Amino acid sequence: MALFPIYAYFKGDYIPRLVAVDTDDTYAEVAAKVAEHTVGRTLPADPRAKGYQVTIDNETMDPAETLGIRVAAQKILPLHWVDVNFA
Amino acid sequence: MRLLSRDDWYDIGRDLDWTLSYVDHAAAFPDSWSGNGVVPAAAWDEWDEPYRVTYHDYVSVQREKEGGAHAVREALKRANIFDKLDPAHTASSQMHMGTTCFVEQMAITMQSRFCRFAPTPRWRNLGVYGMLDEIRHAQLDMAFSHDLLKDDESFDWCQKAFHTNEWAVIAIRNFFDDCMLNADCMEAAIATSLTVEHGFTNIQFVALAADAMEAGDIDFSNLLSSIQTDESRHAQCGFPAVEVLMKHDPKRAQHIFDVSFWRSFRLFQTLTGTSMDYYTPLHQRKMSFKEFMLEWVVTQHERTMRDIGLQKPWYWDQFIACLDHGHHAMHLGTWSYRPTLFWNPNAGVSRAERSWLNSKYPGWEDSWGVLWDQVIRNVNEGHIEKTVAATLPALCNVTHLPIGAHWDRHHVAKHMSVYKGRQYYFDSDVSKWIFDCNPERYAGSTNVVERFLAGQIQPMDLGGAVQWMGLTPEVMGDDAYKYRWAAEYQTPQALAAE
Repeated sequence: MALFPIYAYFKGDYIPRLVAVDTDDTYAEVAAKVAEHTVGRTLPADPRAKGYQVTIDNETMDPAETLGIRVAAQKILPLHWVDVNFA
Repeated sequence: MRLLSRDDWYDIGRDLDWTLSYVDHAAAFPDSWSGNGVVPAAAWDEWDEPYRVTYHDYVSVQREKEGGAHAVREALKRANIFDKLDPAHTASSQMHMGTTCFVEQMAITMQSRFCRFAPTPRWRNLGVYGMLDEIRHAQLDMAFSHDLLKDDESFDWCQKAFHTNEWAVIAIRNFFDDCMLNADCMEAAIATSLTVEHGFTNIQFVALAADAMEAGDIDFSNLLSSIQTDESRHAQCGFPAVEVLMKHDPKRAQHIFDVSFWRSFRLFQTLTGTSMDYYTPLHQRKMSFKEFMLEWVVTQHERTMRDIGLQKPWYWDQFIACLDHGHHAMHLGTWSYRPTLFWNPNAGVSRAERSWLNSKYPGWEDSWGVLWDQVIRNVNEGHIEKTVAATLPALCNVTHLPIGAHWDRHHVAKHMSVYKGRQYYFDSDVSKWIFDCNPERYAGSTNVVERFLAGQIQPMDLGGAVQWMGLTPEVMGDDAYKYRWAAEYQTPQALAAE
């Protein structure tokens, strides 16, 4: 378990932001931490959305998988760009 | 003894030069300072002053200007006009003083470099007057701000800002380090004299002076106008320099121009765009930022480029598209991060202001209105804490400004380079291009996010960042109107319940 900084962009917002996530976080938890800075602050919640989706380097991530797997495989570095959107 | 008339001696005086015997010319005028490059020595015979001035003429004209500026200042000190100013406008003058005074100070160093290292004595001669101009500007900003200290401590930031880590100041300092202090004479002539001063300061000094006069701030308007008369004169030294370079190394001239035009634009989006379209009270606005840019910057640059033989920068179409957006991004950003400012920003989105924004920027509602709607809901539901950003924005490694903030929410995209194993992010493909062309020039610099992650900011939260930036409670930014503007968006039921 370790803090891991990412540059996260929530689709529809106007800027990406620095978000501290944890290597033990699932992608569902990563998405929730990212959404905290946008949904209800600059974007309204989407009542039709079932949740959030995380995309890294054009790959849609499994919400149950943890970030640490990708970190261990060195496929993601600190301040990596992560996209999140309503699913 | 009768003095010679200027024309009797000027041509001899301007060519007065040393015949070096103890050192090589290259040692006395190193290329890293002069920027001479491939230009042959004889080419500098074609460098012709755009204006002629002697020390006697200069002092006599400047004395008049100083007398005029300070006469107005003294009269207004007694009139207490500050109390009558709209608080939104006050933010403009505080932002200007804090972000500009030390740029004038940096410009003294740049002009002194022209005095010492410019490749022709004609240019070195005129550098003296440019240096004296810039000393005057820095001192004027300090004197006018000092007068206002008794009214508002934020004016202390005229002197203080550049000694802090305030994020906007870091971005400005980085830009002027690049185009003034880290630039050789040729770069500085094109990047600063031709592009920033000739191309863009009109918008800072002419447009803001007009808006300040309308807002009743005669003092600030008087200051800006007095400075602009100097800027428009000494900025002309960029023309003969670029004309010489265009004959011998046009590719380099074009590159310097393309880099400095984009970096200048990003800065003026941030400072002047927010002032003109949000801080200036609605009934006192003369032109929108975009209208002023199109008339004073775009038209002027197109003419200048045509006359000199420069091409439009390769990103010209994107620049035109961004005129509709980037300053709205910077405004929403600065308002959302208002505790990191040393002025109180006006949200500027009352129904009447919004109607004006939509008339000037037809896409405003779709790009910006939807975001402000959520902010307004939070204000009216009493969730002010949700209107203040809780984490740092991703920052560009060239401009040091938020990524995405050059355009709008439909154009946010990842622009990244890897250099010597380190990732660098950029606000646009233009800033990425600037970095990729010359990575060593920018790679050593760290932005606020990187300094945060390196542990320089403690505690590691927004409160720690604000403290690290030097903001104290008495100057820390808050909404200029204490959120009263949002009340008109409340539902009739909510209003009735109050």
